[in-house]
Amino acid sequence: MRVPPLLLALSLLAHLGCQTDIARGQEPSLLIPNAGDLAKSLQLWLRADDLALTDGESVFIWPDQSGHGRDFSATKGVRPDGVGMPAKFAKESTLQRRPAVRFDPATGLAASPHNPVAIQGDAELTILLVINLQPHDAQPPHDGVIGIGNPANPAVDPGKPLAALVQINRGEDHALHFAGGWNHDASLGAGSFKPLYGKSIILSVTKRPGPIRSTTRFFINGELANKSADVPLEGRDTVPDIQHRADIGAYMGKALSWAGSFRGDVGEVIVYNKALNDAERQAVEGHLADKFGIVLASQVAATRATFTPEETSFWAYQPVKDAAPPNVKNAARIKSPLDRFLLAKLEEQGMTLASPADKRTLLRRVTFDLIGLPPSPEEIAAFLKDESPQAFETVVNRLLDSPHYGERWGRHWLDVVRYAESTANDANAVMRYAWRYRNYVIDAFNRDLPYDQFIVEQLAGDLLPPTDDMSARIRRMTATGYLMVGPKALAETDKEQSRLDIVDDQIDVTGRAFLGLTIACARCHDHKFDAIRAVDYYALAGIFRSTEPFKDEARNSSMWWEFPLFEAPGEKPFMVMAPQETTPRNLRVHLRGNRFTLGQVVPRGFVQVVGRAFQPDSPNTRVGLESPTYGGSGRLELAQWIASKDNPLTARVMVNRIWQHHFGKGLVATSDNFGMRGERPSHPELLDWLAARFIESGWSMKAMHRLICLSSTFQQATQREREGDGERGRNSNDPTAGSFPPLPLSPSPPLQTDPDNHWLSSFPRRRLSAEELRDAVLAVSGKLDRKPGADESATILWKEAEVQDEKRGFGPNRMQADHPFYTEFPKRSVYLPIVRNLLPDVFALFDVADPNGVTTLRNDTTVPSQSLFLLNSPFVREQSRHLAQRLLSDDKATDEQRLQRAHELAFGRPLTTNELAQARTFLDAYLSAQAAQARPEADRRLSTWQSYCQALFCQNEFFYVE
Amino acid sequence: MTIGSQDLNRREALRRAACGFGHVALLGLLTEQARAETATTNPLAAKSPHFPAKAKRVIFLFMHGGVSHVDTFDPKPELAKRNGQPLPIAKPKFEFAPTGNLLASPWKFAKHGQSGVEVSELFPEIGSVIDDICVIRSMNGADQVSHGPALLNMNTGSGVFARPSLGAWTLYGLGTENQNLPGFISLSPSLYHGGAQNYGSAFLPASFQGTRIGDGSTPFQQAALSNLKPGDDPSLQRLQLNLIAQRNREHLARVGDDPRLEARIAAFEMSFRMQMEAPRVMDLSQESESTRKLYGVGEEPTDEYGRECLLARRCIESGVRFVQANFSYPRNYWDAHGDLRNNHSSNAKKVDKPIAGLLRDLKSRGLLDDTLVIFGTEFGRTPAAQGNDGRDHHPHAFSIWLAGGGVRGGLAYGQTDDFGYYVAANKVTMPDFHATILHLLGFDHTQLTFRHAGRDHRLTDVDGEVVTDILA
Repeated sequence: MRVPPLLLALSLLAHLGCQTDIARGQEPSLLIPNAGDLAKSLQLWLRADDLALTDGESVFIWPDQSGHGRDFSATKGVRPDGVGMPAKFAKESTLQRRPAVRFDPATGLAASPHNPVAIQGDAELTILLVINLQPHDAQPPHDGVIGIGNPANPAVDPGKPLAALVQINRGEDHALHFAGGWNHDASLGAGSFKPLYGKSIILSVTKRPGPIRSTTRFFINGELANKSADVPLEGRDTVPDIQHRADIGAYMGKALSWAGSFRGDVGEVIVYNKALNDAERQAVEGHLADKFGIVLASQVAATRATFTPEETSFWAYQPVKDAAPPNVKNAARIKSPLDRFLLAKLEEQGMTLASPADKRTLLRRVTFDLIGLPPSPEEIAAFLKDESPQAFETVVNRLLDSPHYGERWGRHWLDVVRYAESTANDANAVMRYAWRYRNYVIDAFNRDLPYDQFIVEQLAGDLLPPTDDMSARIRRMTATGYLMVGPKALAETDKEQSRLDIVDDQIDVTGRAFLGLTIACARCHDHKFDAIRAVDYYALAGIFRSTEPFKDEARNSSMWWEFPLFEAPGEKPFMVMAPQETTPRNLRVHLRGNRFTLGQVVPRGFVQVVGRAFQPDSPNTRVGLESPTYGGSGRLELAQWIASKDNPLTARVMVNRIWQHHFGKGLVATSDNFGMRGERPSHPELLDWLAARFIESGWSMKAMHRLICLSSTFQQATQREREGDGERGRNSNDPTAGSFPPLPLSPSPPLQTDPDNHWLSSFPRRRLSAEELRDAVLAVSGKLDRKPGADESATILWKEAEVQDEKRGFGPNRMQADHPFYTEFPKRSVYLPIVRNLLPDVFALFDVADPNGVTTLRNDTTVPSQSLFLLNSPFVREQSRHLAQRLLSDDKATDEQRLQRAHELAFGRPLTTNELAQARTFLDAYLSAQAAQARPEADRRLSTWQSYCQALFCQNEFFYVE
Repeated sequence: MTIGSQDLNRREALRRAACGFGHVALLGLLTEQARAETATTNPLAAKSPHFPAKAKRVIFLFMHGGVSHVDTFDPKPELAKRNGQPLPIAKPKFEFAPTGNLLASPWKFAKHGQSGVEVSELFPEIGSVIDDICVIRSMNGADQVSHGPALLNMNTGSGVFARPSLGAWTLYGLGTENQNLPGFISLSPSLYHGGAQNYGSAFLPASFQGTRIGDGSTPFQQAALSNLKPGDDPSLQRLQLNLIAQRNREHLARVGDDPRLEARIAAFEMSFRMQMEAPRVMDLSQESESTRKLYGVGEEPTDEYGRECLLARRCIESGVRFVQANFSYPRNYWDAHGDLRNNHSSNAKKVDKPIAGLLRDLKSRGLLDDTLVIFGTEFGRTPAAQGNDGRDHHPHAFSIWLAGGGVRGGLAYGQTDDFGYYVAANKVTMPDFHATILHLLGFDHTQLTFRHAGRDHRLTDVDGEVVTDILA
């Protein structure tokens, strides 16, 4: 067999790519083993990727690709006196999940003695091995990985080495030897191989003519393993005289009864009868490293970034400091230690917290905040009646225990992770099991799944240790939908480009969601503002590229991985959409983001500037992974690295998000950017204090809500204190009959001091989200079905989908923005289908998150098309009619009682006498304006009430939460 | 008067109104002060560009599917000479599908107007107004060989990432003149190949997104703006709106100053006016018979696109900033992989007269001077044949044209090689094209930015050079 020209071409292409500024000449170039001058010295070349065998099949013959025909064969049954069983082929071996020949202590392969390797006497030579070996207990205790020549009988010391033998002497504490014969070894010394067990390594041995101890060099992953070039190895310095045996040529493992056996996977074996010079050796090692996804030590060194003191001292990379809450003057307002941080800042500027909000306001606020629905009149009555000091805490606990809590707070998370049920771009194909991930998120919030576990499950649930707990297994696998629900360009002709774009999406969302870092900015060059290097990007890209979302490159109709997790008889299979771990690989830097201009190889790893901040002592901080030869994709390790309590960003970013959704703005206003161009925290000590509490609570999100909701800061009014105006500034959703006092004509000092309410001297007024608006309308009209949703969204999408063509899947083409399902589906809005680029009006008009990317804070726009929706859409009109019918159906009630009820339902407060008069005037006017209509009076009455109810839905008081 | 004192007066008026002035007075005030109102609370308020410019508004005629440049605006005699022979130069790295030998254009080209710019016989009417048109023959759409990414690249500047559309950027930069109409309207956009992303606002606030009227799957004759039809008799709805306004004002007085609450009060009034104004603008029967005829409205095969072009003019005239008139998939599609002759002749017949009519009409009304008209398509078609009578997608070189506001008419800019395969001179990339449009509207494309996800984004990302040679 010959080397395919394509391989050569690819090697050359990659080689050219190295000649760049990023490579800085530190990286070895690549050279295939039989290229150029090397071809003349090549004596033996065994490649596992050449074997056309199925997994587990016996390797009776391992063909030699050197051109000399020195094929290795099993010795038992093939060769007289042979004892070695055939090795086995491993398709996804321990060697970076690549093909390998698997040896165990009973296995031995050998070449024929009639075609000896041309290495004799005091010869020079090079042996390169790509191996992943394991310790074992078989005797004799020396592992003969490969041997050429005649190892001497220990009983007869010939006084010189007669063979070239790479072996590990387990009996001598796992020392790595280049053995010339009994006691004529060059040894790396006791324990030298111990750290290398279970790792994929490229082991190179070179020997120049002369005394064995001083002319032998060991290289592990391209790095000299001898203590130094000048310090000789251990052993006896005798000059070899390699001689060939009559019964056996070169051999590996248990080839004959005297041979030492070994256990492990061998991917490639290369022997030259020349001591390669450094450039030649490094070039071949470079080729092997590239092929096996192993990183050479020089490559690791080349990607290690250096940072300026300014970069490393940036606030966000410093450990969380758990400072004591400060003292304040107005201690009477302190309900929670967190109030101290706020009040201290306010007092510094001559401001203070606003008065406490009244109970009705507070209940409406906290109910929308925690479950996204208005409080019912019964809940209001119960809270007003409860005069105990724990009344509000009781409410908070009730809301946190409600299954609607996850529907509200899960939705915040779904914004961040760009959740949708179609692929976007031109195919926009339906992802029919994406909803499983959505429900996983809702459930995780409801169960108060510790946030660190939430991180790990989403990023790497599939890689967690196996468990017998079926529900845990389902949950973990479903969670990895996180990696799958992003946009995908299915019609992109350049498939690798499309994969890299998915990787980019995964890096972007992971960076911004968990770490508050805009890592994706480093795709084309080092980050312009933050200490994130392009090599960091490609270190992460390698991790994500080693996980496959697609079933195959061809991408047929069901193109991404979706599979049943379990199937019970008579039940529908439990289908999920989840990625599959694949051959781990390291990517090269893509210069300017272009995959055709490649720079240096980057070992998979994490973000260095963050890593060095909390793992300063780890020698492997650069790669984050255990070692550069790490065999998995590193995704689980990445998840654990993010979820570490020592990671300075993770807890801060999440408590800031929680804070943001309670107060409309984070302590760091740019909640997905904690970088140089992001905002600095308004209350850094508070941010850290919350982060510390978060970790202390076992990463409990509900504990954070409790902490925040039970503070005075959360419970203050939306109106600020004004000088000499303490009473008037108070929130008044419980107005005294009739009129309200006029406000002063010019703003008082606090408003001028802090126009943006940066320091929270009042509670920020908040608009309902698109989902809250729709849900509140349904709740008030009485039509909301509060049961959790399941696969309804997927079912309707699938029903409305059309096959575009086999390659592009099923586009939900009939699912238009005004599809009746969006308004008729009675369950909560979080369960509605989300089709990318075709969001329903009720969502698109009200600034819902665009699922094409990470949304960390929704826009807040006010445009006439929103009012048109409220005035004219069939949805709002229909629900107004339902509310009217609900009110009118109680025939014992008076109109006044009906109006009261409507007000309680819509605004959570009673009607004022003034409003009552207005309402009566409106009803009369509206009814009489219809007098000429030929409709029955009942119809006209219903229309009148419908119009009134709709007016309630249109009011600012309905749309804004105080 | 400074904006600040105006603002104070307005607030004061609102407060006074809340304390007892009649609502009618207030509503009148709101209407009169619509512009002042929007200056502080409405992101769509009209704004000045970076520098004075001729073009004040845009009509983008978008031809979906890929109009063949070598059959329309880029004559290639060499193709006729070498018809059926192999392409003597290397084909591009990415092809959508394999193509065969060179294919001569089935249509003849002729010089038109005083400028003598050549146009094929597919577009006799457009040819007759060529002196107002600047054809760019050297467009390059990078490697975007598929419709979706290519459409997105043309409309948003990125075939991969979700980016705001050209219209959204324009609205973000200029606001709009008529607060009673959407500032950016997309007529009959395709639901496919990026769908709403092609007129979306991505990370820009939603108020800058295009408002869709109709879609590519529905005859435009049936198109309507959503939620525009009053659910109630307008006089009854007025009663309802009065109640809403009254309650909202009381609420505002109770809870204190908040521009968002004020903006929403104004938005309800605006939407009420929009209900009145938009149907009037959309009512093409208000046009004279001769104008309708000019666009081919009321006759086949021009009725549908004629209506789009005529409505585009009516919108522009009423103060809409950006109108995209789409000739789009699946009902209208230039994607001639086979059946090139029929496809291109029948499509050309549908759009030729309406487009020429639009240019003539704009000119006669004096609107062409400050209206930029763009004729665009996502890519050209291969000079080599696909089958016997077809051409494949070809982003490597294609033609588009500009007319009106600040553009040099009667010019053919740029050049492709003898076969129309690659750009030979004056290449115009998509970022160059976008930079030029923004320049025509008065913007330095490097300065029209929006901060998102940690960096300042712009339509042209990190590229783009204004094609100064085509400026008038």
